[in-house]
Amino acid sequence: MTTFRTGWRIIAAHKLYMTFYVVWLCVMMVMMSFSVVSGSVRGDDETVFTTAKASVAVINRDTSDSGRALSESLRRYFAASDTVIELDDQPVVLQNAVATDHVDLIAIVPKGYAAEFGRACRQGGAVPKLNTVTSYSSSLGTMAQMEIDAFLDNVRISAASAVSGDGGGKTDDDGGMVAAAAGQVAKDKRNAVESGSWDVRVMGGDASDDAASEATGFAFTIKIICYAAFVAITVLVSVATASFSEANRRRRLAVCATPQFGIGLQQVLVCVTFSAAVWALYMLVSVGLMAFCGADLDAIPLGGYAMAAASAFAVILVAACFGYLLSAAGLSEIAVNGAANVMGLIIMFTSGMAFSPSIMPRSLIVIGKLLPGWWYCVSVDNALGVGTAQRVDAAAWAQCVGLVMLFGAAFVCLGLALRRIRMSEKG
Amino acid sequence: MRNSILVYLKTSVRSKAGLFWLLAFPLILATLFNAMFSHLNETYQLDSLDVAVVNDDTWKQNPYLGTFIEGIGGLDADGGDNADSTDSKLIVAHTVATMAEAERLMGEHTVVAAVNATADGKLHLSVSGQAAAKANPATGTNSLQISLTVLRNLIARYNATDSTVRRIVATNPRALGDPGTLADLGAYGSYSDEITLTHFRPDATARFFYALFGMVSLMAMSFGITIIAGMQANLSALGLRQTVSPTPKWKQATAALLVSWLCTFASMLILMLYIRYVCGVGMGGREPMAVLGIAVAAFMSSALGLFIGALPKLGASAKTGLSVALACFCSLFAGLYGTFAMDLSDLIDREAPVLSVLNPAKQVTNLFYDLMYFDSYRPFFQTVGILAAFGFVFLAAAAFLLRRQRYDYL
Repeated sequence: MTTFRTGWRIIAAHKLYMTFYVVWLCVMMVMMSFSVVSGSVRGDDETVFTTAKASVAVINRDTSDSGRALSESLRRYFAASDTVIELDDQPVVLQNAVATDHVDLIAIVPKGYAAEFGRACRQGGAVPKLNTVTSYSSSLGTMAQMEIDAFLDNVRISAASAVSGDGGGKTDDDGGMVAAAAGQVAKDKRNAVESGSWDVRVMGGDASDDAASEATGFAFTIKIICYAAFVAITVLVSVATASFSEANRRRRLAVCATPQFGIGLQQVLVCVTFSAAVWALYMLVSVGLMAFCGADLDAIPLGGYAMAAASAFAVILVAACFGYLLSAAGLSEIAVNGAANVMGLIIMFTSGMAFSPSIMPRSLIVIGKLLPGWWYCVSVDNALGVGTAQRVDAAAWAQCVGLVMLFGAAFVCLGLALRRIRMSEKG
Repeated sequence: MRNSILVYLKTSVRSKAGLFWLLAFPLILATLFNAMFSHLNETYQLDSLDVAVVNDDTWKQNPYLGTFIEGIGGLDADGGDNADSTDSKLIVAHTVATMAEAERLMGEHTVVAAVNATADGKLHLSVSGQAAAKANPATGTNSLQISLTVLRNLIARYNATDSTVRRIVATNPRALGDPGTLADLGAYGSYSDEITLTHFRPDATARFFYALFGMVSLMAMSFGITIIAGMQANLSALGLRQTVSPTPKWKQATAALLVSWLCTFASMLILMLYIRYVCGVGMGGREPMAVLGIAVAAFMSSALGLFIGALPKLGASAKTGLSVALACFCSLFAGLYGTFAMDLSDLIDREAPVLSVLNPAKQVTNLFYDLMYFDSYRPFFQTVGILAAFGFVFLAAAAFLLRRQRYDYL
């Protein structure tokens, strides 16, 4: 087992690669997954569906009493269902808030707005408009704009009814009438939220649905293993196998007493055991992160863990096969670093890991399907019944894992062919 | 020194690794981003939701509920009337007689939600467990989450209007006899005008391209590392010859800095031109200032490359590996690796701004933010100052290390 021990010594000698590619990428994986995992397990009430909350800032430029009251009512209206951010009315502050996505929507109440709104309600004309600014998250900003429309619609109805009939009579204080109506609308919403009538209940389903939340967070963490593997495992395995393939060393090994088959087998064993060690580390970190975030580990069935772990091991082995391919191609260490990073990033962006497949263009999905990352992510979805899968599907999982392994087989075959060609050229 | 500059320049330009990392790799990534984001607005559509409508006795007591469901069933993703097209309806209604039947359909995953009437005439929305898990905001924005939230908001608006009208009926019933008030009840309009506060309208996809500049500038450290490592006697025969050459070390190091700066600047400029004119990502109409920013970013990364290259007791490959790892790590916090990384970057920017300042990739990214989104040039020049300060600090550290390097034997 001298070759086996030597292989491990070669890997251990590359401490910097181990530190940066294995440990640091692991840390990156934890950082990227932490918010997703903690969000998937954070549930004050699992029977209530958490809708997306927009971050909204209300800037008041109507310095009248009614304007201030209207703005305050709008803030209270948003506070009942969204997050209200306080911002100073300074150009740099507002631009920074929008540019850094600190707020999804800024609602600006213009000067004299409340009085003009009231006048329009009384006279029946077109009501003035608030100015709104949306940030990058235009979907959340647009939903917040819908809430502004709902708020002002009800204020308009209330104000219009107040100027007719016996209720309020005609009033000269148009702004005050609007402010009163706005206060009432905000109060109505707060009452509705506190009474629970705003809540969207989560109903139906079976135990697998209860597990879906935890499984979503776990799946996200497991998927990132693919990126880490295609960088870390590829580089280290490539470095190890390249050491044995160096010309003079290869010639000495060719004439040594140990059978070539035995030497080759021990090199394969080095790659497999190293891959297994890294796989164990990543799985431990993934499950540990779940436990740290307070997830119910029993919510995911043992079969789900087993299938996800098997998928992860498969993709790590494929990354090792890719590393062998790069070393067989005779690439320098620097080129191997480059190729591994490029491959890792391309897989990350085309596999549905970094961006949801629902927003990926068809051309990128086609590229993704030509790489092992896509099938790996789909296998994890099928193992846990999340993402692209409707439910846990062992047959679909097995097909996807098989495809992933086929990529590995293709890399190995290509590597063997390239090595043969290079050896025959060099003699 | 002129000869040193010429030789280093030729070496750098002929380096295949350098050409790949600093020309091909950024262009590949920019092309990937462009392919990813170019049709984002067209392809991102609201999904039609299969919703069970519980048509029980409570529902039948209020005829307007059915009108509301028909109305939103005829809405398309843009809010326009598109009742004839099944594909783009907001909801596809499945009428059931009881809530139990609706729960059964949710359990079978036939529907994702159910709408029923409450005793007080309001609408109530329930979602299935699976839909709730998939639409969890913590897992990122997806079309199901947006569709469900839009449906919730529409139902909430219906309920709020219902409450308002009932309150008017209770407190001021004569108002409903006024034709003007009735006309207002039926009117529907938009109450807001969207404006832009920033120099240019925010573009979520542009941030990923700007983060790419951050990664490329740090990757370009490899130019400086390769040249400086080539000067060190313990790392190569070339370094041995350079060490005993009559050219002072400071001239060699200066030549290394200038060449690295030039090569980095050139690669970033090519990337900038590609992103601006091929990918169509704006720079706020301030392209000349963007070029200045690139020059400063190139200075910072060259100085950092010199510093890493000057580190003792590390081989050339190890230094290159260190630079790649540093570039990847810093790029994570500049938001390059997807929406989650971008959210993490924003969070650090708000909660721990010092960490953002200390991240050179983030500062390079900010150069382009500042040009794109702020009217004033002040944020841009602040970022330029930070990067220049980084550059001088790294340069000083590199000078200190190189000055003190001695060898026991050669």
